Amino acid sequence: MNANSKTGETIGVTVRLLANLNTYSPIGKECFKLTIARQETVADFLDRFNIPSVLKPIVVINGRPAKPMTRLSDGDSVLVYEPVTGG
Amino acid sequence: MHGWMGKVLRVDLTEGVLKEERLDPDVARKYLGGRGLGIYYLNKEVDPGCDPLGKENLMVMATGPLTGTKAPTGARYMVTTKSPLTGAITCSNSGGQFPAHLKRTGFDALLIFGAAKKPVYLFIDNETCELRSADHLWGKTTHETTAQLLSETHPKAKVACIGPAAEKGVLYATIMNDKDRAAGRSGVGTVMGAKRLKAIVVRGGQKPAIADADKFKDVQDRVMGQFRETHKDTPPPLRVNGTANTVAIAQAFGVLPTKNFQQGTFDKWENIQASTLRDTLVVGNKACYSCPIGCGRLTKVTQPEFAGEGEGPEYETIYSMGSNCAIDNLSAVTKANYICNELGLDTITMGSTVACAMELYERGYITRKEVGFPLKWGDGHALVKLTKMTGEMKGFGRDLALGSYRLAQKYGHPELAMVSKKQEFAGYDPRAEQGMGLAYATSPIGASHMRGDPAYFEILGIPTLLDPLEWKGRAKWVKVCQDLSAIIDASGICIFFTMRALVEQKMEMRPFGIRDYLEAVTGFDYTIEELAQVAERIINAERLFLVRAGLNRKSDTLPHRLTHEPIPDGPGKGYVCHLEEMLDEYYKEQQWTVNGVPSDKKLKQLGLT
Repeated sequence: MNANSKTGETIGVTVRLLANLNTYSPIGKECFKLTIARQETVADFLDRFNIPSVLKPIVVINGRPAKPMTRLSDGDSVLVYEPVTGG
Repeated sequence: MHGWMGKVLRVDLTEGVLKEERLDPDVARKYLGGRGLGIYYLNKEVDPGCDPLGKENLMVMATGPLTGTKAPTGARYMVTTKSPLTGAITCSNSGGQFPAHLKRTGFDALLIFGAAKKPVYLFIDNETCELRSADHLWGKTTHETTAQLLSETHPKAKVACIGPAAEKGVLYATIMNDKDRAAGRSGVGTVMGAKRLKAIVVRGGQKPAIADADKFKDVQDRVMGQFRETHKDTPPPLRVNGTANTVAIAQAFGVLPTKNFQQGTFDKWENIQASTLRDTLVVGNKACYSCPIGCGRLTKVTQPEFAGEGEGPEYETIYSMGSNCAIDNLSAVTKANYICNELGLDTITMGSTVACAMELYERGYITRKEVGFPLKWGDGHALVKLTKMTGEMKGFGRDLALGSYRLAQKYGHPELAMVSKKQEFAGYDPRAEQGMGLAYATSPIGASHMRGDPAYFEILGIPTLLDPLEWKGRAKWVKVCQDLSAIIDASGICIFFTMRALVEQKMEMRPFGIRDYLEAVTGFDYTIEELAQVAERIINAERLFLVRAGLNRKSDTLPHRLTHEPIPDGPGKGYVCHLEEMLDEYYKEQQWTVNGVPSDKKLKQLGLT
């Protein structure tokens, strides 16, 4: 999705693609800043990374579990990870 | 028998007598192995009121029916005994290579009674068993002991041993196997030290018989095929990051214990997270027997004052020695981990006890005079120094060797000990992860994340994510987790693979994959319902031991800080842990009385009367 496609306005979010999901980072780094369309949903946000659905990525925004239709806000911190065992 | 070897070895250290016994197939079916066999023998043979460090305490080392098979992660064994740290039962689990080889000697379990007059080690060489003098090993580190025993027995033998910490009576000493794998919690090593049993060396060539090889192959092809398909493009996260992966997740949810649980986030967390560990210290990874993941971290520290090589740290060590002490130097944490491995100390309790001491120091309840030097938050040098002093029982290390509860009590402030049943917490603040608080309080071994781990559904996303701040209705899912852990612990496999690959990915978390493996291996036609009964039998048998040892609802507690002082930061800011509300729900789920005692009806149903 084009960042300006909905309203012409954009927001900035900080993204962390953890562990193996780093493979799908657009800049090859685990943590990066991204400019996206205001009101973008989690489902649209995830689409851009092409993470295989078999990995069932979890999205957590500002430390709270997010649903596919949750909308992102300016300054959000977004953590994405494969459901993982361990600790 | 299939799956089980059909024999246990009774070791009387007082008399120096070794005796083989048949494993009753009915007991095996009802308790599986590992943790199940451990509590079966403890309830049968031990007075729950006994002195944990006395001759009358029994230590059971038991494998499970899947240990030593080719089932993925069939690498585990369990040490069960009465704990000197908690006064409750403990069961501490480990992987590596030793457990599979223990089983290959032809014994499912070792029952270790009494205490030797002088240090000994037990050598089992393909069913030939003997006790040998360990005078020359007493005082040696776990690494030195392992090297010496491999040289005097057989280079391909496998060794489990204790270090100086256990010999000197540190209350949270470990049993280390394959050098750096630990049955770590609650002082299982301290019990072994009191028995003057320095090590167990095994060399075995017998493979467990599989009841239905074709069925086993079918299950294996299905499970491993699915695993390979999931990770055909990217490796599993635990292979990439190890358990340190959890640092970023715990920080995001605000459950990363910091400064002795005064905070749930650590401002320098990026310095101790998995990618930092990977980029600075990791030189390779390591897998246990039959494990397709390989989460173990091989590390090398070059910073001169912390230099060394070894295994670790795991997430729990990074929390306890890192954020909980406000230390952001991974080299210091890793060095302290190496010392724990060599001296035989539980890294969780060691780090958390240092954190407790740091808070006592901050508040002026202990001073430089007691410690011998300043003890400030964030001081990695102090952590390393105190870890060594504890393992060697020198100076202030003698106080730290008591664990947080007794340390804080000695200096007049037991409320600063972050413990349940006198055992230190794992790396999750239960104010922002409510179910974990209930799991800590009701774990039979004192605070632990391994006897039922709600972190899976509260922050890790398995089988899904529930709101970690919600406590209503949480007891049901905590019980589901605890039941599942009992089956995993008793089968001889590792929770890391099992939770995603062998368990239904719905909240009921029914262990269909484990059932399939157990049926193929043992030949018993286990159903999900029978396995649910096995789990409840193990958990109720453990609870009975606790009740008979004098523990009840009054022991299922959390510190005042976690139930009354709102967490000051993170997404859970303002929350406390709602333990009492969850406990009421939990006892109903368990069919226990309001005082936490198993009902007669439940015991009868499980055949425990």
